[in-house]
Amino acid sequence: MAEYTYFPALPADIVDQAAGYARKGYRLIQIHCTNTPQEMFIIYTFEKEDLTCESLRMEVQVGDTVPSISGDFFGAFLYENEIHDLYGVNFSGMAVDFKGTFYETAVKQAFSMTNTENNI
Amino acid sequence: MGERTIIPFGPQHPVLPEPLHLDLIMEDEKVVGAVPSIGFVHRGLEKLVEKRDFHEMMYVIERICGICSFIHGQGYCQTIEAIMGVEIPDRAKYLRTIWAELSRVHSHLLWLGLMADAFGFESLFMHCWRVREKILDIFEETTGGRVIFSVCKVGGVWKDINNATLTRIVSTLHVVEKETKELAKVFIKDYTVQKRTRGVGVLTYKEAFDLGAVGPTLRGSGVRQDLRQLGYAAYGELDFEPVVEIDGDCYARTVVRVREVFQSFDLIYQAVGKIPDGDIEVKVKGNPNGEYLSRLEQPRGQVIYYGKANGTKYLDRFRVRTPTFANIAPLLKMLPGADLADVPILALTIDPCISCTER
Amino acid sequence: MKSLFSKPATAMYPVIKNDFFPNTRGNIQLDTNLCIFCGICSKRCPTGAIEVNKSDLKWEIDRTRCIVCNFCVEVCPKKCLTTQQQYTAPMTDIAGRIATSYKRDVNLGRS
Repeated sequence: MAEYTYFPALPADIVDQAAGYARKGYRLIQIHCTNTPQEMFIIYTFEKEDLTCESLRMEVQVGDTVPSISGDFFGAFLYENEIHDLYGVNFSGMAVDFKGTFYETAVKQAFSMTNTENNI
Repeated sequence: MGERTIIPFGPQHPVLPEPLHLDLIMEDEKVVGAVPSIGFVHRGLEKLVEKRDFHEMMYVIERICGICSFIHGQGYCQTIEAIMGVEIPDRAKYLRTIWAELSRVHSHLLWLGLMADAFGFESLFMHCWRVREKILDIFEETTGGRVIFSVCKVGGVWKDINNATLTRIVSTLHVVEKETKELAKVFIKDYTVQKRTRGVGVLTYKEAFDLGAVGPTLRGSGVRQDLRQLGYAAYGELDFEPVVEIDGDCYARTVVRVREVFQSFDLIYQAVGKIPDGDIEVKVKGNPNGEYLSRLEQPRGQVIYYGKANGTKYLDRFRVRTPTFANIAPLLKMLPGADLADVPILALTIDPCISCTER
Repeated sequence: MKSLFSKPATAMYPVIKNDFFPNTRGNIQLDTNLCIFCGICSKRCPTGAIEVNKSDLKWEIDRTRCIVCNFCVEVCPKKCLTTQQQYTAPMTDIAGRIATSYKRDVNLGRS
């Protein structure tokens, strides 16, 4: 069980970084969003065929627009739609854009910390 | 050039056991495109982690899905143990391995039954599930539950299996293996099965890898990748080879799963032969603090758990990326060019588990 | 052909009852003589099915909320909780879902 390394990323050059990983023979295995009351990150995880794994960590805010990486990794559109629906981060240029109908939640942006209405 | 029509497929469909909706764009009888939509059973279990302490969350995570329930629990416990730096005893690791492999056997037998049902082979479906019943009896005997086991805990396992029972389980499994061999013969050699599955939905090596396919979907296309090679739990001390088929069609994916059942039997025999004596749990004190990303191999493929803790008893974020989520994109690649009648089989060969996917 | 001459794989259910294993998790039962009403089980219960009232010496479980995860049994310091082998029987009356045990047979104005 190796510790995984996180590399910083910026919304402006995320597409170039993803393309770099694609050239190096990595594939995207997941994108997820994590947030605390102070900060919010999107974490991209890439994996090689021999199971080595690297992650990018990108700081975002609710309402930000991040370029989509589904040009290099077609499967990314699912994760990006999920983050858009649950966290309220916008993605531009997704391969398939569900426009917020991917998960029909009763509360918009159900998982993000800015949402004070959810009392589970 | 035919006329284009859109056929909605699912979420309620006689051949589809899962609530997956596909908008199939058809040209006459051929599929030319598909748009998936899920979200019918979204429950927001990841949000619940902020309301339940991390010991109780184990039981919630286990209920994400009924078929891979044990491995969800195992993955959750491994993530929390890694954050807290807890090393669990060897016997617990072996017990987890045995249960995980039994889960794999029962999941694959269930899937093979559904597959047989999808191409209309009703009696084969019944036989698959008859064989699977013996595995469920083993679960009920050792853990107390047929589907939800609740035996994993942070720091080990709750229940021990004594060695006499383990020996009896192995002899039961020998019987199950004999019966599975008869079923496997049908899946691998039967003319009708091959007629329906050979050459349907071909996924090339490069496509499978780039689109992020996982599990049998990936290995059916010739990629030698199995997360058990990481050596978590007791897999580092057992020897096995990833099951690989090179054709990348539905038949290859079926054969991968048939062969994985026998690989699992073999792993259980090895684990029972090597299991050490000793404790089954360690005391866990304090609260987790930190973040960790762990990867496991489920019956359906690679599953990713990400836990982030802040030193209190409630986690900040727990994320599960389930195998089906990664397999939806390859499914969209397979569909164009298939007949409408083959769509259910194609949708089944990725072994969809939508309850897992939406959490 | 083999199936023609062998016994069926299923059992005639209402006549032949399924036998449970000793480990099967059925419903939760309390041994009131051992219970000290510490309330750990109700704190630990993932679904909040158990209510413990120390002043009334009352222990109450909502059978329909209980998911039989065995957690309360494992954490009980006195080991006074046990899982029975039978599942909770189906009920026709919604009020029957709550099972209450008192330490002594004290009548607190409840019927």
